[in-house]
Amino acid sequence: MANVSVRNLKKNYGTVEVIHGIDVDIRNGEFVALVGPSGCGKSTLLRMIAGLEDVSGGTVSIDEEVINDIAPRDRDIAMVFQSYALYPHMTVAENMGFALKLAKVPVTEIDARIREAAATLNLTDYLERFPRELSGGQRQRVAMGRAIVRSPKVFLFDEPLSNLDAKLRVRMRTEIKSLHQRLGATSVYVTHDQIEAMTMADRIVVMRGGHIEQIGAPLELYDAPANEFVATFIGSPSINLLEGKVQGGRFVLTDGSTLPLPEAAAGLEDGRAAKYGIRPEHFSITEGEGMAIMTVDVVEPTGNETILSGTIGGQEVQITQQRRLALTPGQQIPVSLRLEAIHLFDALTGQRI
Amino acid sequence: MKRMSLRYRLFMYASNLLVISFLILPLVPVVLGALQSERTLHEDVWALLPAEYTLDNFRLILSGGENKGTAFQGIDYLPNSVTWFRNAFLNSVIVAGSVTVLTLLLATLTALTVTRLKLSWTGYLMNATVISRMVPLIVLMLPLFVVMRNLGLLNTIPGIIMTEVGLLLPYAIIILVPYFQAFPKELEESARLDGCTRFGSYVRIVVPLSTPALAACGVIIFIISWHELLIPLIIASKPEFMTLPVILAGLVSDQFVFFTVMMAICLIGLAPTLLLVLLLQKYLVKGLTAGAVKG
Repeated sequence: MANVSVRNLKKNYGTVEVIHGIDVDIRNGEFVALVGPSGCGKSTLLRMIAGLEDVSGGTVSIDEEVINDIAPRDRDIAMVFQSYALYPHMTVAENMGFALKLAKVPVTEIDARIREAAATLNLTDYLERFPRELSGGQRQRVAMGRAIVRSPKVFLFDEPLSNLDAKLRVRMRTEIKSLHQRLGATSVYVTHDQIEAMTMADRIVVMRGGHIEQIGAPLELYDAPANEFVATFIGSPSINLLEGKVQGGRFVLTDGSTLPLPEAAAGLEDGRAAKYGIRPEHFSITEGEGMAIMTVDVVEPTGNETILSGTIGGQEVQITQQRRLALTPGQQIPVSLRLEAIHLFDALTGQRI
Repeated sequence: MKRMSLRYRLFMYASNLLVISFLILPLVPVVLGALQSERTLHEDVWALLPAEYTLDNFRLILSGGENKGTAFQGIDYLPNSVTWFRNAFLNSVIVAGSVTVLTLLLATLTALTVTRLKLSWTGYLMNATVISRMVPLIVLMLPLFVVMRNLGLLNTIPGIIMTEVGLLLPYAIIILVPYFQAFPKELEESARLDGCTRFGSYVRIVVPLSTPALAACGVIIFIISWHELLIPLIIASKPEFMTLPVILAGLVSDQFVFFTVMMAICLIGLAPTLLLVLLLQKYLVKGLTAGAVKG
């Protein structure tokens, strides 16, 4: 149990700087997800916390103690790898007990802790098997078990579910979350899948190009994204961004049609170029006039909702409706928008206005 | 896949047989020669099969020249090669064994350094390793002799071992480096987080999982060392430090050639390498890393 703090952390490979001085605080018992597109530096950050990568500048500390120069084995950190990294020449039990054996924990205690972890993870029947005799999901659980038996200060997860099929991934997601709720251990979870981050994390760190774009609780990021990048990265189907400018209290799209602005945007000067962001579920199909006219191109029913793709003012939009709709491509429908859910982003900087 | 036609398969079998017999054929006169006496051999050199079979050649060399049997009755002079056979065999085992173990030990450490530590000079090290093998051994003989004399290692087993390790190390490194490069790094990283030092993860994780590569490399090193003639020939001039290939070469002189004894020594000398390959066969084909990462 510990808090992890990263201060002005930098990483260069030769002359190339890949992480440009970032600050993150992870509180005791918190589950923090690092998300971002590939190459954003999230795995590098995790590996620096683990001690597998050298720190080029700044500090990493656990419980206020700077650990930059402490060897990985002395950091009391457990990591679950994307490839599981199980030792193929050891049985499940030996894999799980390896760290304890190295720490010279008495054999009876090792055995007890392995059995306890195995029971938690439904692995009791597989303790004598070798990793190659297990399925992907079971290997994944062994990797988790190997971390759990140590009861380390911090758990690190490096895209642990990426190698599993979609169904198993959803199940393991729930299992990891409930495990965290039970153990209450400080956890850092790297993923490129925003759904995983949203569903599991207490707080999300969104990264891009070695910078942190925003840190916040999942719904905070969803409801109040700091910039265009965070807005598009979080949420699926992703947020609609319409280009245009502010004119006379309305938002004028490039083809001249207009959309209403929320009250908060009343003070904006005329002619300011911006992007008009609205999430798919904040549209509703109305009778009569509506706030805009959407031309439907594609109708995708998923059962519980219907995804409509089409255009408003010549620009592509996707909207979702929690009901079944009988619409045909090319049909024009009036839609209204939830004004309080609209985000305006600066056209140049992408920052939220 | 389309089934191979009968004609094609027959052709393949025939080619296989041809190649195998080409490799095996020289062994036939060796076996036949070892099983007859010098006299029978000389009576009719063109005979395909010996007129009478005898194990006297083996008796002679295994007893160190004491048990002459009927074939060598009346022969007073026996070359050093015969009297020192047992000792030479033991020397060969010690030399080839130590060379194999030492070379593997040093080569795995080098391969690990080259593939794991991000050091700028390891590239040059690898180049130097490859280049060093381009110098013909014969060129190094004289300097080697002088160096060994100055070190006082002439006519010593450690002298032979040291020189052979130096000769074979580059081969082993070149074989092992690609294998270690392909070795999943996560396993070592995981071990380091589990409480191993870098060296600990090497001993506990990398080495046990590299058995197939180490076995293959070890067999190659052992065979080369077992057959090495030039190095022990230069370093050991006294019979008590000679290895098998050296005493074998000693059987050919201006005054005499002991054909049948030579063949017998050849056959016995062949046994350890054959045995080693058969013993390690399962490691040579077994891929232990299956299941390490997603697969």
